[in-house]
Amino acid sequence: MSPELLADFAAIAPEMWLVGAILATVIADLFVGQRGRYFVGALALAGVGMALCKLSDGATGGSDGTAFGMLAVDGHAAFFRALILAGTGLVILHGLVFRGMEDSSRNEFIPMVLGTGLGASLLVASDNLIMLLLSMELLSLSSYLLAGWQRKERRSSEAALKYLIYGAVASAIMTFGFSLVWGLTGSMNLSEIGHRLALDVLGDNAPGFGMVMATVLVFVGLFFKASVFPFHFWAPDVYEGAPTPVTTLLAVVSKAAAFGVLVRFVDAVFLAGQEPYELLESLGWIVAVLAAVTMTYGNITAVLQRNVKRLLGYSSIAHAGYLLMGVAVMLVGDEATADMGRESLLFYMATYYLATIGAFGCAMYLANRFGAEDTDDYQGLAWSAPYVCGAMVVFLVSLTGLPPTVGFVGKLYLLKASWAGGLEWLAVVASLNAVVALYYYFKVARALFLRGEQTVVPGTPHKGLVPVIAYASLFALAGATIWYTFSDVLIVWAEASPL
Amino acid sequence: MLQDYHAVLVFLITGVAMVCTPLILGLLFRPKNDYAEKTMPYECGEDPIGDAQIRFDMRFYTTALIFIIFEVEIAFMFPWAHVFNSAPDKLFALGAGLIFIFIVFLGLIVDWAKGDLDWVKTFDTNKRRVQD
Repeated sequence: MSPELLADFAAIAPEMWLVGAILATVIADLFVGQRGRYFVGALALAGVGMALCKLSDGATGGSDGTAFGMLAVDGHAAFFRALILAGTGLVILHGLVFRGMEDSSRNEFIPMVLGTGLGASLLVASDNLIMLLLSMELLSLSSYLLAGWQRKERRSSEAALKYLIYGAVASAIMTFGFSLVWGLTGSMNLSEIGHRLALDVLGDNAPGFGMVMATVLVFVGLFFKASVFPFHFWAPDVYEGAPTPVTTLLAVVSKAAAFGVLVRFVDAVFLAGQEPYELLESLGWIVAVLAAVTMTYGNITAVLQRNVKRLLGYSSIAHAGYLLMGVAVMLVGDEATADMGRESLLFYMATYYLATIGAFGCAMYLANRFGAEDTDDYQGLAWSAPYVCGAMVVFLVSLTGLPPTVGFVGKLYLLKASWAGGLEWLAVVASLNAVVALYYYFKVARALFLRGEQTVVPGTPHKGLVPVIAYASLFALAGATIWYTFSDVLIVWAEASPL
Repeated sequence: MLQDYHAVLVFLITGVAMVCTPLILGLLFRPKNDYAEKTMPYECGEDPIGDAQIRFDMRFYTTALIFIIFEVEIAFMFPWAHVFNSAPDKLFALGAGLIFIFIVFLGLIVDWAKGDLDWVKTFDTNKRRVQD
C-alpha cells in the first residue's frame, strides 16, 4: 500500500473497527447463538471501544487533509464521531437488558446498531455530496429496520413503516437538492462548492433564487433526520413505537449526525467567502424562524403527552429547535459570532446527549421493572426505585436547563451566541420556552416523587452482572450531568474542534 | 431574476406537449376494433390461466432479495476486474476485492444458517414442520 493510502485508512480507523465489529458479531452469532448474546455484545462493545481509542489518535488523512478526498476528518468530525461512538456503545449495552425484545433477535440487533453508528460517523465527516448521501442512507436503512425490531408489537411495525415512508420521501427531496447544487456549482465537493460560490460573490454575481431552492431542498433531508418542524411528524410516533434503546439511538446518534453534517454543510458551502451576501441573510432568517417554531411547537405539544417516551420525543423536537439556533447564528452573524454559534451548538449537543441517553435509560429501567410507560404508571415509583428515579430527575433538570447541571450551561452559551449574533428575539423565545419545558419535565418528576402511595412495589428486578453494568452507566451519566467541572471539559473540547 | 428561468418554462410546456400530442392524435385517428383475444394479457404466446391478482408466496421474496445482492455484487466486480491490471498495487487490489466478496458471501452464509434458504420452513416455537 502506498503511504497516501495508508494515511487515508488511518484517518478512518475508527470506522474500520466498526466494520470489523459488525463482521465479528455476525460471525460470532452463527457460532454461539442466543445463549451467547452477552459474548456478542461484549465483542461489539470492544469494537466500539477500539474505535474510540483510534479516534483519539487524531489522524486526518492524506496530504489534502481528507480521507480518499471524500471525508474531512477534522476536529469537528472527531467531536461528533466521539459522541456517536459513545452513544452507539451505550445503546448496545441498553439493548442487552431491554426486556421488550426477544432474546433470539438480540444478536442481530447488535450489528444493526453498529451499522447505524458507522453510517452516522461517516456522515459527520462527509465532504462530498455522494459520500453524504451514501452514509445518510446507511444510517437511515439500519434505523428503519431497528424501529420495527419488536416484530410482534403493532406499534413497532407502525413506527417502522411511518419512518420508512417519510424517510424515503425526505431522502428523495434531498437527493434532488443535491442534483440542483451540483448543476448550479458544477462540483460535488462541499468546500469546492463553497469556493465557487465565494468567487461568484466576489465577481458581483451572488447566487440567487436557484441556490436558495437547492439549499432548502437539501435542508429538508437534514431537517427530517434532525426532526425540525415541519419535518418532525414521524418523530413522536416512531419514538413511542420503537424499542426504547432504538429510541435512544434515534434521539441522540441520528440527531447528532444530522446536526454534525448540517453544520459542516453550512460552514463549507456558505461561509467560505469573506463577505456576507443577501442569500445568507434570507437562509439565516428561514432557519431562525424554523428554530423558534420548532422549539415552541415541541414544548407546547409535549405538555399534553402522557406516554413518557412520546413526551421525550416531543422534547427532542424542542431541543432540535434550540440546536438550530446555533445554525441560524452561523448564517446571520459575522465571523466571530459564527464561531460562537457553532461552538455553542457542539456544546449543547454534548449536554443534550448526556441527559437524553440518561432519561431514556431510566424510562427503560422503569418499563423493564414495573411495566410503567405513562406518567400515571410512574406515580410513587420513587419509593420503590429511589436511585434510578433520582437520576431521572437529574436528567430532566438538565433537559430543562436549570442549574446545577450541564444543561443550564449549554442553554446559557446558546443564548449568549444568539444574542451576540443579532438574533435577540430568538434568545427571548428560547428562554420563554424553557419555562414551558419546566412544566412538563416537572410533571414526570412530580409523578415519581410526589404522587401515588408511598409503598414499595418490588416489580421484577434484574439479576446478573450485565444489567448492573448497564444501569451503572445511568448513574455515571447522571454524575457527568450534574458535575459542574465536567461542563468545562466539554466547552474546551467544543472550542478545540475546528472545522 | 425569474426571467432567467424562461428556458425551464419552455422546456416544461414542450415536455407536456410531447407526451399529450401523440396520445390525442392516436385517439382521433386509430381504428377501434377490440376483441377478447386482442385485449388478453400477453404471456409468451400461452393462454393465461386464472387471475393475475394472486398472492405470491413470501418465500419468493427472500430468494429474490438474495439474488439481487449477488446481482449487485457482479455489477461491482466488473469495474474492479477491468482496472485490475493497471492497479499500482495488485496485491492490495486483490485483497480489497476478496474482502468485498467475503462480506457479501457472509450474508449468504447467515441466510443459510438462519434457515432462510430452506423451502420448507421450520418454526422454532413448536418445532413442527409445516408442509404446504
